[in-house]
Formats: sequence, structure tokens, C-alpha cells
Amino acid sequence: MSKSGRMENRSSIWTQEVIEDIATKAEIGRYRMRGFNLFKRIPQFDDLTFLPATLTRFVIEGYREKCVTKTVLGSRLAERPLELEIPIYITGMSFGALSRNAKIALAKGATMAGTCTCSGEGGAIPEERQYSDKWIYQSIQSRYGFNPYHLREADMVEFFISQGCKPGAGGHLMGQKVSPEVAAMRDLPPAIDQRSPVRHPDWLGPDDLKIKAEEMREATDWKVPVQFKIGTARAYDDVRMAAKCGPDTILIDGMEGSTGAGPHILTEETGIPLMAGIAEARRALEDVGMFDEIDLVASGGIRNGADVAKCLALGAKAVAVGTAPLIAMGSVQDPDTGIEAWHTGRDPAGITTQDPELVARLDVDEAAQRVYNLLHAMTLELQMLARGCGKTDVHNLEPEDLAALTVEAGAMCHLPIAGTSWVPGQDPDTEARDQRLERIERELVMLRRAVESGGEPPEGAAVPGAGDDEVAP
Amino acid sequence: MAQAVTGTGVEAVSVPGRDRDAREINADIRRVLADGVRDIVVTDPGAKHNLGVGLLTPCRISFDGSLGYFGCALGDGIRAHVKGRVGWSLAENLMDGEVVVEGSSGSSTGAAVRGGTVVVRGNAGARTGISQKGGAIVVGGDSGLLTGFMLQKGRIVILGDVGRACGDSMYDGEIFVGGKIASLGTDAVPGELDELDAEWLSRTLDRYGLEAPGEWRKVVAGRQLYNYDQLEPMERKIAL
Repeated sequence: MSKSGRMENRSSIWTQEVIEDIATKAEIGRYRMRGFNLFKRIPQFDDLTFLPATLTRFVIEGYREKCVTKTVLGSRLAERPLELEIPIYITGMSFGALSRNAKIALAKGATMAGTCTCSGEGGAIPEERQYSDKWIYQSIQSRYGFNPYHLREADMVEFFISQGCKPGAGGHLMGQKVSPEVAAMRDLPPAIDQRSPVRHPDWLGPDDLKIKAEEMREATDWKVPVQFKIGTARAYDDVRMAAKCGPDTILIDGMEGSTGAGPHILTEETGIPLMAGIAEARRALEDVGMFDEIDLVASGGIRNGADVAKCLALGAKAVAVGTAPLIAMGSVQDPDTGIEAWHTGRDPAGITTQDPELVARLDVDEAAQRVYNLLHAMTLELQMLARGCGKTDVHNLEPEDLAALTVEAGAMCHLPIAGTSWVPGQDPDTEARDQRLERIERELVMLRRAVESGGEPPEGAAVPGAGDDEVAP
Repeated sequence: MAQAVTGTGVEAVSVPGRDRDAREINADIRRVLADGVRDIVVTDPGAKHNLGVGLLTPCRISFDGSLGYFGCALGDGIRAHVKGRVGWSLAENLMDGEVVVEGSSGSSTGAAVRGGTVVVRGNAGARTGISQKGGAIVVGGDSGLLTGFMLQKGRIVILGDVGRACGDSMYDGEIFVGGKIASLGTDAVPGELDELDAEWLSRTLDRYGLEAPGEWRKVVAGRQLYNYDQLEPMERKIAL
């Protein structure tokens, strides 16, 4: 009702956006394509809050005391793990989706911050490797531009299995951005719409992936880590399977992640939030006893140091960012369409275009400085929150440092609602029983080890479950 | 473990495969290549996966038996000969050179090959030449479904029959089939065999001692999927 008491002609179902969407599809006769990330509201990191140190925790001086950010990824099987100064790196974004200048600026900015970049799809441009002190090379379904010489220059190999923004679909690059140079690198005709396959050409399932990962290790002489990138969908099952395929690290990419181009309907309607993905991935690795062996990396919609800190607290060892550094470089929304002009090839900022005139607008060094500034600021924010929670190393953040502000967030992250001990979705009685059973299981393992080694059983382990009268059979 | 092979007329080195894993065998191959050896014989490969992977030094390498998955993958400039059969993804992402298999090969033969020639004298499984980006793949027998799936560049030659959805979603390139085609895939259409094709086919088959079929069928891209995702009317109006 309006102030005058008149009924307003608005529906919450048939909104103006819905009506425009129908009209557009009626005109073009196909699904709609766009860049950027999802538009609808989902449970996300704003629904979590930190519980800083007070009387129950020792607080760390916010601006002075050391708080370690050094991050080592992939020390499980690789001879040369990836060592970064900060737990934030630039995620894979292709040359093609991004301009050459943008790729160089990201490389320079990341190197200034002591971290790495990732090639993304479409092959490597020499300048990106030249300016990236540390560099991840992606093995993606299309194998556009994939080159074993570039593989040998990598500090990590990433298997792109799916992306959070559109799990279940391959990459898209609109014909407007397939310049002759991009086309040549990808062995495609220029100016055609490029839609990458969603399946890898040479492996189909986990058993094959395990062998494929070993192929990459052979080709790199087992020197560099192997990472699997998985869009969050059935995160628990996917990560359990992935863990058996021999990676050093697993990257979980949430539905908040962006794309250079993709069907709007997939961006809106697929995947699960990153925070749920991390929690499920952690649970999966713990259940297969590999949480301490395989490092988790998180990406998708990470905006600031608080988001990074929340990822680390939930179980990630590092995060990868893409949209935030693009915005830092000057990516803007089109005033007419209200969306980023990423997929059209007409980005006025020269970041997501191949038009030489527009690309020239991006000052590489200035953009690199802004990327560095952002990464540095995010790191300072991360350290601030970690110190506040009493941590001298950002990797010591833990789920206990968090509380949920909504029931949904609590259920997804297995966290208590702020001000309560209630974890939505968990029955306290069942949980207490499970904890007792886990303790008995641990004690039995200790007892068996002690007996096998011929030593004395550890104290308290002689009678597993002693005192647990309430344990259900 | 590597030993010189004598009496062959060429200075070759033998790398034993029996009772050793792929990592040890590949390390031996790399070691002898680093020593300047350019002719290698791997004995008893035992159908192990990932043998002869990532060889970027031009050399001749012969496998005295069968290979598992990803045999001779990610190579450049190698001349490989496999006396037995090979599993999935033979010579995947080969940059240049030649890989010849006397027996049959599994699925995804020559996946994403960028250059060189892959020859399988027997049959090949599904998805032969998937995402191929250059070079040539020649199969003496039959090839399974989705042969040439998303083929980008290069040539695929199947002397026998081809399974369903041949050339599905191919961007470019050419598929030549000597036998029957179960069905064409999306946007794959019959092409005209011209003189250059005939000459190239004749020369290629002669080189590997393969007999030409009585008739060829050529498959090319229909190019109807090239610009499916055109910009929307409003996006075309965006003023920079």
C-alpha cells in the first residue's frame, strides 16, 4: 500500500527484473549470458562473527606483536611446496577473459605482495610468468594452449575440475573477446563463441584422475604440488573422492565466485555457499584422516580480510581471490545495464577486453600498485582479526573463534548461534554420545598400539570407556 | 640400471621395466637422455601407466611391450614405437614427433594433441582425437563413439568404422573415415574430399604401410555453433 492507501501495482514474484528477463528471452530465444557473480541473497560470510579474546583467551597486541602470515601449500608429496608470504593469492583468470595488461598487472601486484598468480584457461602469456615470482599452471578441460614447457615452469599444477560460479559447465568466452591472438593461442577460429568442454578429454572419474595426477607429477619430476579445484556442490563427497586421488591441496570454490562469462541461470541456480563448502570439505578430510596432510584452499566471493580470516578459521590454509583485485584495478559496473561489462568485450577500464584501444587505458604499473595495496590491506585486516582472537599465526584461527549470526550459517558451518551453545542441525545428546564414542575409539587405538609395541598401556586407556555408563550400545 | 644395447648397429640404451615402478623407469629415461643418449629401448614395460611421459628431448624410444594410461604423453620431438597395446590417452598433448602403436589403444587416443603424428595399427576406443589441436591421428582399425569430439585443428584418419556422434561439436579440422560412420554428431557434416586431401592421405598411409580403403568419407564442422551466444540487444547499445 502506498501512503495514499492505494494498492501499488507490484508483485514480489513478478518483479521488474523478472519481467525484463522474460521479455529479453522472448526476443533472443535463448538463455542469457553475463559475467560477474550471482545476484540473489544467500547465506554468506557476513552471517558469521568472530569471538575475540577477552578474559578467557590471551589477547595479542593488535598493532605491534608479530602475527605470522607465511603460508606453505602442498608439502604432502611435492619436493618443492609452494611458499607464499601471505595466505592470499590471485586465482586463475585466463588471458582472453582478461587483457594482457590486466594479467601483467596482477602478476606484478602479486609478486610485490609476496604471493602468486594462476594462469587460468587459455595458455600462458610469457609476461605473466616473467612478472610472477610464483605461478600456478592450470590443467583445464579444454587444454587451450596447454604446453609441457610451461608446465615445467610452474610452482604448482592445478587441475580445474569445476568452478563455484557454474559447477557442471565449462568455460565461456564470447566471440567478441576471441581476438586473433587469443584464437591463435587456443587453436580456435577468431571471433567465435568459445565454450569449453565440461569434462576433461583424457580422464573421466576419480580412478583416472589419480593416474592423471601422477602423469603431471612424472612430467614435473614430482617437484611441484598438485592441486584440485572443485566448485562447491556435493562438497563432502567430492572432497572425500578427491583426497583419494593424490592431491597435495584441494581448492574449494564457492557459488559466490565470479565468471568472465556464463549463463545467468547457472550463476544464480547452482552450487552452495563457500562457507558451507569449507566446512564440508574439512569434515570430509577429517573423516578420511587427511586434514593434516592435504591443504585446503578457498575461493569465491572473498572481499576483505574478514572473509579471509573466516575461511582460515573454518579450515582453509589459504584463499584465492579474483573479483576483488579486478575491482581494485578499476573494474566498474556499466551504468546502463547495472552489471560488469566483463563478457561483452567492451570493458571501458581495459581489464576484461581484447580491444587494443581499451586495453591501453589500463596503466599496468598503477594497476599493479592497487592490486598490491589491496592484498596488503586484506592481510593487515586478517592479522588484526587473528591477533584479536589471540593468535600469533593467522593459521591458528579455528572454528571456535567463530559464531553464527543466523540459523542457516550455523547449520552450514557447524557453528553455534552467537550467544548460545546451540549448533543448528546437531542434536546435543547425539553429539555428546558421538564424542564419547570417538574418545573410546581413540583410546582403543592407543591401547592397541601400546600392546603391539610391547609397552605399557597409556594411563586411562586400560579400560576404554571407563566411567561412560551412559554410552549407548 | 640402464644398459647399452649392442649389436643393433646404433648406440642404444636399454632401460629395464620389470619389477620397477613408472617413477623409477621414467627417472632412468630422463637420466640417459641427460647423458646424451638418443636411442632408448624400454624392456618389459608391463602395461604400467605414465611411461615415457613429458619427454621434451628429441629421441627414439621403443617400448618392448604394452603401456597403460597416458603412454608417451606430453612429449615433444620424440619418435616412439610401442610393440604392444596402450591404455587410455595415448600420446595426450603431444607437441610434435611420432608415436606408433602396433596393437590397439584405449579411449581418448591422442587427446588434445597439438602436433606430430599418432598411429594406432589396431583399433582405438571412444573419443579418439578429442579436443585435438593439430597434427594427425591415424587408426588402422575402428574407432569408438565421439571420435573427433570438439576437434579444433588437424586431421583424424580412421581406416575402419567409426561409432556414434562422429565429429560432435567440432570447431574445425577434418575427419577421414574409410569404413562406416554410425552417426554424425552435433554440427558435424559431410565434406568434399579434394585433391590435396587425397594426396595427403595417400602419402601418410604409404609412410606407415597402411592400405587405403576403397572409398573415403570426410567429416567437417558445420559451423552452426560458432556464434550461438551473440550479445543481447541491450548489450549492443553499451556506449563506452
